[in-house]
Amino acid sequence: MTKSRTALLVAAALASGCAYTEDALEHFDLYGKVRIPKEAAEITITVPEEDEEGNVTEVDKTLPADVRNLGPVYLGVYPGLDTSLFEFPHPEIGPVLSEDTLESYPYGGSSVGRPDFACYEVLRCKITTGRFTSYDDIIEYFRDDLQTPILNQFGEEVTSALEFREWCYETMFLTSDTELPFLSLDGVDFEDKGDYWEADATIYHSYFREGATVWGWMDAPSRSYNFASCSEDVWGWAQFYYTEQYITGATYAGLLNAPANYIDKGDWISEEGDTLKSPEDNFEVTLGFYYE
Amino acid sequence: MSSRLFAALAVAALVGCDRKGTDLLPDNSAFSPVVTIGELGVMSAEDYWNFRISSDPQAWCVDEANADSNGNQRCYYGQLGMPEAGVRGGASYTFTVPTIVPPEGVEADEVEQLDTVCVMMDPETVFWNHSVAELDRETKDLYPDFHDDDGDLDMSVGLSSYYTGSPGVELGDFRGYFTDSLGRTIEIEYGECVQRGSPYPGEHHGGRGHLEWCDIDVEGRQGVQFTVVLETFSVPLDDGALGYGSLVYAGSCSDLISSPREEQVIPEESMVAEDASDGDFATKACTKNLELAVSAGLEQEFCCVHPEMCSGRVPDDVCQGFAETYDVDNEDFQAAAANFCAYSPVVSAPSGLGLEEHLDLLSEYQRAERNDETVSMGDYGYGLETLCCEDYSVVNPANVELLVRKPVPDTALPQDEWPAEFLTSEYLTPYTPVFDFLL
Repeated sequence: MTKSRTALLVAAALASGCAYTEDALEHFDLYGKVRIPKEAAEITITVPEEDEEGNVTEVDKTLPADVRNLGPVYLGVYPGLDTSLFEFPHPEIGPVLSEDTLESYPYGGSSVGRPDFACYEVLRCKITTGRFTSYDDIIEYFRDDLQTPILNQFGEEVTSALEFREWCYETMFLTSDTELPFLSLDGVDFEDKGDYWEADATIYHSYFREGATVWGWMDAPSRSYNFASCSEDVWGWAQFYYTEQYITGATYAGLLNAPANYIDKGDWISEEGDTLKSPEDNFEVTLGFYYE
Repeated sequence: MSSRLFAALAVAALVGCDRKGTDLLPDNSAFSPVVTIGELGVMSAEDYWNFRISSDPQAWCVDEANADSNGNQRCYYGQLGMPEAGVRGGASYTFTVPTIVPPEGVEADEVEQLDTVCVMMDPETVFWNHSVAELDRETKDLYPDFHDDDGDLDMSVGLSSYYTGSPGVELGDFRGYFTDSLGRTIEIEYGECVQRGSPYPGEHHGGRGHLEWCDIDVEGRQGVQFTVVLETFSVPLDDGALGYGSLVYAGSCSDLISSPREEQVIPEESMVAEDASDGDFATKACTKNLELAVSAGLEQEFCCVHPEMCSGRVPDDVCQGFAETYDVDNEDFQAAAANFCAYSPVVSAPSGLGLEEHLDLLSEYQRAERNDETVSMGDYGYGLETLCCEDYSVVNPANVELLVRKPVPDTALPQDEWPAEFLTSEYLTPYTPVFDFLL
């Protein structure tokens, strides 16, 4: 009798697990699209120009709209926006204890393209994933558009895809182009949609509450073709290959926690974000605000 | 039958849950486990200099002549008892960011107000890792630290308005809650004492016996009160009471603290109970010399000379390298100890020497050194004492006053005819003067 009661109790306890549903989960994968106005891909940089007497000066050069000119796009999920904080739209922030403690408390986030190390020291923080389809694409862009050819460790110009590939394989111990995230072998992230560039975006495992807002910005290249969201010297891994010794560069930590610390003039920002009622809603974020 | 046996085993096992391990600690119930120190004044550089060169820093702190204009002590030494199991123990105090009052005839906006203060705390005593490797034993740090006299406190600092504790009753913290516009509650750390560790950024604490410090940004916060919390992490096993010292310095921590001289910043915090029934305590003898030795990286040598100050559980050959280094000819331990004590001086500033005067003398000394003049700080009126302690010394250091950094014998003389006070270069190599001041 005692044994059967015990067995019954154990069975009941185990069976209670069957009643558990996952409705109470607070984290979800969010899917959607990002749109950037076509004009955001038209950038002005400074390039060296030599006059007839051989003097070199820096002059402005505007590059026509090209997906390769687009910087990394950072997306975050926030409780809301506050337009009164800065000269540009920004997520609401928590208590401010000092100037170093700006904090937006994001629910989650992701990016469409990120700075990636492209094998050469001179390319630290210069290459965004999802923008280039081949080694030649990169070589040509830096040589012809930016007018700053890629230089190898000896200060000599990198002229062929073969050399580029061999150096990547040798220094990073790789055997396939698929191991290099900065090469978009299946095509770039953004599609030409007339007035806009458009890309699919996924924000994995984000906390969600009804009314959460997906917001983001694009870190546009500066005139000297640098990206404010990328640190050359602090973040990234240490590259040690004979005399080559440097940090490879990567994004700063806290980009989504304190976007205002990394947004600067020339960036394209989401004006309103997209407020979602349900995590199943597909978000559409347009980076229509130009910070000038 | 089996169910009875099972029940008996279960009851027996549960007895273990009642064990706290406190019976292993000496009873020092006279020392309170939760202490409120009250308000401390902020130390200027001049105050810190006077505190640091005083022969008795603990007495300096309680001397009313050294208090601030509100009568608050500028530093504090104390002992903490062991808290009950499951209860947070420690000490807390407050300080208020001072307003620099302009001298007569000077406009207020011409005076630079404080923008940073440095909060520091040192638990007793010192700690180091020793080598257990078999290779290169003659060059490794083999002498173990004495763990049982070490304690550990973790420091945090924040605005008093965010402090959740009840001073002297219950220790609190600086955690608060922020509710965003969608109603999500997030815990926030309002503490502002960020101790950067390596290699990872973020919150860190010093380990047992180690100084903890952090800069607090006080720009525009004149008159604002902060709370400092020193939370007990471990109490020394030898006496069940945790000695510590703490102060707030009007400036950046980097003004005072340089590795590996952290132990010198707040000296002589190691204390022993004099009368456990009423909580009296006194500085542990020789503790200052041990701190100085650690600061100078001479803890191995110091332990060989004063084994009573270090762990008794040592390998047999632990001082072999010491004898080889300090008695090159005969490798005799007694002779090596005598040499070490005789030629390892502590340079201390004379009582009453002002900070400005000291800085002038120091630059004069450094200039002379740069000019390759054979000088010692003793030539400038600074005291020279041996690093060894009389009470514990296994040898009697006879020539303590000698400080010969650069031998200048008449090179025409053969080495065996050099004056006795000059050592051969073989002997001179390991000797390093220890400076008993930081500024």
